[in-house]
Amino acid sequence: MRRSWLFFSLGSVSQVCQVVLLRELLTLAEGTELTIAFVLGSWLTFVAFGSFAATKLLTRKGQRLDPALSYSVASALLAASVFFDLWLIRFSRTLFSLPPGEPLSVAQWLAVTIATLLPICFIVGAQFAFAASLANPSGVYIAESVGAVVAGALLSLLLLRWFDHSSLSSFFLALHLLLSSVLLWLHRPNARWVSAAISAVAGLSLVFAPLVEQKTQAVFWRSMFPAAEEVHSVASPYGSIAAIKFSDQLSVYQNGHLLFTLPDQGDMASLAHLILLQHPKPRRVLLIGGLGGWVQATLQHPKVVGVDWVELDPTIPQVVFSLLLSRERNLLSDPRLRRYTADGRSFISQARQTYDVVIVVAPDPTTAASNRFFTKEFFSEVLRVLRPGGVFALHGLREPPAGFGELYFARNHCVYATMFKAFCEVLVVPSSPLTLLGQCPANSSPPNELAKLTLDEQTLLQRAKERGLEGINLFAFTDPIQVERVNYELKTGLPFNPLEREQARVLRPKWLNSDINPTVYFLSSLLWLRMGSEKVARLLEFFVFLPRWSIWLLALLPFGFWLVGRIRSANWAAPATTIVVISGVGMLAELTVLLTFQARFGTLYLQVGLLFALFMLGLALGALVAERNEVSNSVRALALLSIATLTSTLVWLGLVFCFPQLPPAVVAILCGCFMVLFGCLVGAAFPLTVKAMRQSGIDESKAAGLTYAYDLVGGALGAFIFGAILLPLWGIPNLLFLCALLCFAAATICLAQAKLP
Amino acid sequence: MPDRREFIRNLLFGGIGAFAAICSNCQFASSQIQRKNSSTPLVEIPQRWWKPLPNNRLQCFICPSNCVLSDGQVCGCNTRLNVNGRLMTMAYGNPCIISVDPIEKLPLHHFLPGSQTLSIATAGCNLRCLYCQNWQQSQVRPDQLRNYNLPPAEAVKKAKEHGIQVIAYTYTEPVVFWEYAMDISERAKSEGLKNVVATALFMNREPIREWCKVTDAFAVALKGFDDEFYRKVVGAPLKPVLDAIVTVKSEGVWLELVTLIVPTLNDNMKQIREMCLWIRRNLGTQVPLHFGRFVPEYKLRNLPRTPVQTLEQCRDIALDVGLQFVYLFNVSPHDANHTYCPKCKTAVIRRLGFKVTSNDLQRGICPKCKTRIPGIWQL
Ligand code: SF4
Ligand code: SF4
Repeated sequence: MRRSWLFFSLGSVSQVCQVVLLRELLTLAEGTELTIAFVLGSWLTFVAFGSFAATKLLTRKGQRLDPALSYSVASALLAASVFFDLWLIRFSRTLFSLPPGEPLSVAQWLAVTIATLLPICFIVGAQFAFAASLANPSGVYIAESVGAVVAGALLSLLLLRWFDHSSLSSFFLALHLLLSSVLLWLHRPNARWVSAAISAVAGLSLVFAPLVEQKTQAVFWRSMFPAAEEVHSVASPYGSIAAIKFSDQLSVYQNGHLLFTLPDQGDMASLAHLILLQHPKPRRVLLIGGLGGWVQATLQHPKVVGVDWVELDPTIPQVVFSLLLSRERNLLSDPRLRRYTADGRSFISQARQTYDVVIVVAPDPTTAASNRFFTKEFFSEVLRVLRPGGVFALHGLREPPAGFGELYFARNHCVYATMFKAFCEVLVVPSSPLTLLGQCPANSSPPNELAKLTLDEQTLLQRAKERGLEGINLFAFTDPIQVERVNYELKTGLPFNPLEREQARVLRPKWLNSDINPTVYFLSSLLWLRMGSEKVARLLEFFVFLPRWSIWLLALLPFGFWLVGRIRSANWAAPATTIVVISGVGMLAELTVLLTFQARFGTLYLQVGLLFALFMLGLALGALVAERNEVSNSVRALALLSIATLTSTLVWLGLVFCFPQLPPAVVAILCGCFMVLFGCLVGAAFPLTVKAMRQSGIDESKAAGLTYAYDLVGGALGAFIFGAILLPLWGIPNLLFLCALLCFAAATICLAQAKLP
Repeated sequence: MPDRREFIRNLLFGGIGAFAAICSNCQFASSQIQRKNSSTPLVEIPQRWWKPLPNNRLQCFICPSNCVLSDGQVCGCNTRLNVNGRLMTMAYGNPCIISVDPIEKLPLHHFLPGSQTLSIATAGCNLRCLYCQNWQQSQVRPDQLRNYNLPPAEAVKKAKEHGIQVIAYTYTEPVVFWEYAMDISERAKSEGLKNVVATALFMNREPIREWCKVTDAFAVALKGFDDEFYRKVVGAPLKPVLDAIVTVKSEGVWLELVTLIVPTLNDNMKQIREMCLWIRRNLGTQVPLHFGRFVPEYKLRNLPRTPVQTLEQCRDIALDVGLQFVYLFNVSPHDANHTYCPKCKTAVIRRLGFKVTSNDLQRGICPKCKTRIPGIWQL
C-alpha cells in the first residue's frame, strides 16, 4: 500500500492534462456543454482503451511486459505527447490553411480533438494498468484520486490565475517523471540509466516550457489575426484573455473567441439610454456585464446617483482599461460607479440593495451557464431587488435566422412566456440581439402611466431632452414595424410574416424555462447543432419527439447488459453491470449537483473546481473504506451499494425541490456534502467490483483493468447520453428518478446473481 | 472467459442497435420538423442553358463553373441537379425568405429611394464566402430548410396586395434561383412592378443578358480586387465577375456596386485604388460604390469588424480616383450615408442607416445647382 502513493502523480498529471487540453481545445470550437461533454466523454473512453490494451499486454502468455519499465517509459512518452499536443492545437489553424478568423470545421475539430486526446488518454489508461500490477489496485485507485483532488484544487484556487498552460503542464509532468524514475529505481535497480534519462526529461520540460508557450502562442495569433498591431494576453481563471489593437479598435478575445470590439459606435450606448429612459427617475442602477457603451451611457443620466457594475472576470476590464484612451479610463474614477467582481446571478440573489433599473447583458442561452439568466427562478430573484416601478432589461437573446424558424420561435417564446409569468408587463426591443424589458411583479400594475414601458420614439426623445441628453439615435430600436414584429413573434411563438405564418407549424414547449428544467438551453443546443451539422441535430431532434414515458424504459438497460453477459456465460456480468450503472449515475448526480450549485452561485470556476475536488475526495474515501473492509460476498455488497446510491439519489431529488427556500449557506454545504457522498459511492464500487470479479475467477490485474474500463464506460455514458442530451431535455427531477430506477435494477441483478449457482 | 474483444463486440452491437433505433425514429422526427422536404418540387430548366452528355450526364452553362453533373448529382450551388439526364432545379417556387425591406438594404441608393421591396430568396449559392451573413440559407439545399410555397403569380399578387412596387431577389444568391426569379420578374414587369437584384454576379454572359431584359437595377457585390482573395475567401475566380459587371453596364441596366471590406483579407489600400480605377475605366464615374462594414459572421466570426477609419480611407481613395457617389454601408449614423450633389456638394438625400430621413431631389435634380443626379427616381 505504501508504494501505491507513488502513483499519486498519475492522478495529478491526468487532471492537469484534462483541464489544460479542454481549455485549449475550446479555443478552436464553441465551448458549449456539448463540446465539453464530447471532450470528457472521449477522455474516459480513450483511457478505458488504454487500460484494456495494457491489461491484455500484461496478462498475455509468453512475453510479458515489465510493468515498472513500461510505466516509466510511458511517463516520458506522456510528457512528449503533452507538448506535442499543445503545439498541434495551436498550429492546427495553420495546418488546415484557414484564413484569419476562421474557426475549425466540426470535422477538423473532431480530428484535432481525437489526435490530441487519444495518445495522452491511452498512455494514462495504460499507466493505470501498469501501476495496478505493481501495487495494490485499490491503493493505486485511491492514490490516483487523491492526486487528482490536489491538482484540481491547486489549479482552481491558484495556478490557473498565474501560470500559462505550458508551464502548468510541465510542472506536473516533471513531478510525474521524477516519481516514475524513483519507482523504476526501486523495482529495477539495474535500469538506472533509464531512471536518469527520465529525470533529465523532467528537467528539460521545466526549462523549455516558457519558450514553448511563447512560440506556440505566437503561431496561434499569427494565423488568427496577422494584422494585429499589438497582442496583450493574460491568464485568467476563465481562460486566456487577449486584447488586440487594430487601427482605432480594441478587440477582446477569451480563449481565442472574439468577445467584443471597442468602441462600439454607439449601438449599445443608445440601447442603454433607451432602457434608462423607461424609468421616470432612475437613481440606482445595477449593470451585470456589459463593457463597451453601457457604463458610459448609464452614467450620463443626471439623476443616477449610483451604478453597481458587476463583472465575472476581473481580468477583462483590467486589460481593456489599461489599453483604452484616457477618456474611457477616467470612467473608473467616477464616484458613482462601484465595481464588483462576482457572478451576476449570485450577486442579485444576495443583494441587500434595491434598484430602479437592473440591466443584464447575458450571452445567448446556448449553454447551461447562460441559461441561468433566462429562468423563472432568476426572474423572481430580480423582482426582489427591483424597487416599485423599477425596470428590468435582459439583453442577449438571438433572433432566428430564416429557415430555422420553428425551433427558434419555440425557444424565444419560451423565454418570453417565462418572463411574462414573473412580470406584469414585458416588452421586446428589436435590438440585435434582442432585449426584453420587464416591469412590476405579475398580477400588479405600474405605479402610474408615466412609468409604463414604451418604445415610442418621440416620447423617449422628449424624456431624453428633459434630461439634457442630446444626439441620441433610437430609431434602430423603435422602428414601429420591427417593434411590432419582435413582440408578436415572442408573444405567440409564430412568425410575424403572414406568409410564413400560414405554413408554420407551432412547436411550443410545454414547460417554462427553469433551473431544473432548462428547456431553453436544450432548444438552443439543438439550434447550435443544427447550424453546425444538420445530421447530428436531426439525430437529437429525435429525443424531442420521444414520448415522456419512454424515459422509464431506459431503466431496463442494465437487465439487457446483464443478460448479454449471462448468455455469453460471463459470471462477472453482474458486477460489471453494477459498476457501469453506479459510475453513470454518479456522473449524472455529480452534474446535477454542479448545475444546481451553478444556478444558485454562478459559474465561479473556483468553487466548481472545489466541488470537483470534493467528488474526487469522496472517490478516494469510498475506495479506501471498501478496500479496507473484508466482505465475504462482494456481489451482495454491490447490491447494498446500489441501494445506498438509490437512497442518496432520492434524498438529493427531494432537496433539489427545497433549495429555493433554503438559505445560500445551507445550499452550498449540502451541495458539498452530496458531492462527497456521490464520490464515496462511486469510489466504493471500484474495489468491490474488483473483488467480485476476482471471486468469479479472474486474476487481479485483469480484474482491475476490466473494472477500470467499465467504470469509465459508465462515466462516459453518464456524461454523453444523460448529461449532454437527456438532462437538458427531461430536466433534473426526471433524470434523478431514472437514476434511482437504474440503481434498483442494478441491485436486483446483483441479488439475483448472488442467488444463482 | 470473456475478454477485451468480447467487450468491444458487445459495445459495438449495442451501439449499432441503438443507432439503428435512433435512425428509424429519426425519420419520423425529421418528417415532422421539415414538412416540405419530402415534397420539394423539381422543375426542369430549359435546354438552352445546359447540354446533354453521354451516359446521362449533362453540362450546365448558367454560371462560369460550367458544372458537368452525372445522373442524380446535385451541383455545388445546391439547387440544381441532374435527374435522368435532365437539369432540374429545387429552388423554383420554393423560397426560404420572403420579407419586406427598405430598398436601401440591398444597397440601392439611386433607385426609388425610400421605397419598400418584397424580398425573395431561396436556399443555395454558387459561391462560398467565408463571411456570408446569410450562410444558414446560402450554404444549404432547399430541401434542408423549411420553405414557402410561392409560385411566381402568387409572389406578384402578394407584392400588389401589400402595395409594394418593387420585388427584390436578394439575401442569398439569385443566380441559383434564376429561373424562378426570371419568371416572377416577367410577370411583375407585365403588371407594372419593378425588379431589382442583389447578387455577386458569378454568372455567364448569356443568361445575364436575358436577365437584364426584365431587371431594373442590379446591386452587385464586387467582393475585392484580388484573384487570390476571390478564390480563397469567396470560392471563385475574379475575372468572370468583372466581365459580368461590364455586361450589365453595357445592357444599360441601373447598376450599383458594393464592396464589403474585411479586415486583413481585402483591406489593402493599393488594391482598393486599383479597383476604383477599374470602375472608372470600365463603368464610369457615376456608378455608385458602397463600402460595407464587415461584422463577424459565419466562418470569420473571430475577426473583428472593420474599423470605421479603414472604411473612410477606402472612401477617400474612391473619391480621389474620381468616383462621384461613394457610400459607407453598415455604419450609421455617418455622413457617408447621404447622397451629395457632385457639383455643389449639397446633401440631397439624407439617410439614417436604411431610413431616408429627407429627400430634396426634384425629379432627380439637385434643388440648389440643378445638376442631374444619375439614378431612377420615379416609377
Ligand atoms: S449554376 Fe450551378 S449547376 Fe450551373 S454551372 Fe453554376 S454551379 Fe454548376
Ligand atoms: S455570394 Fe452572397 S449569399 Fe453567396 S456565399 Fe457569398 S455572401 Fe453568401
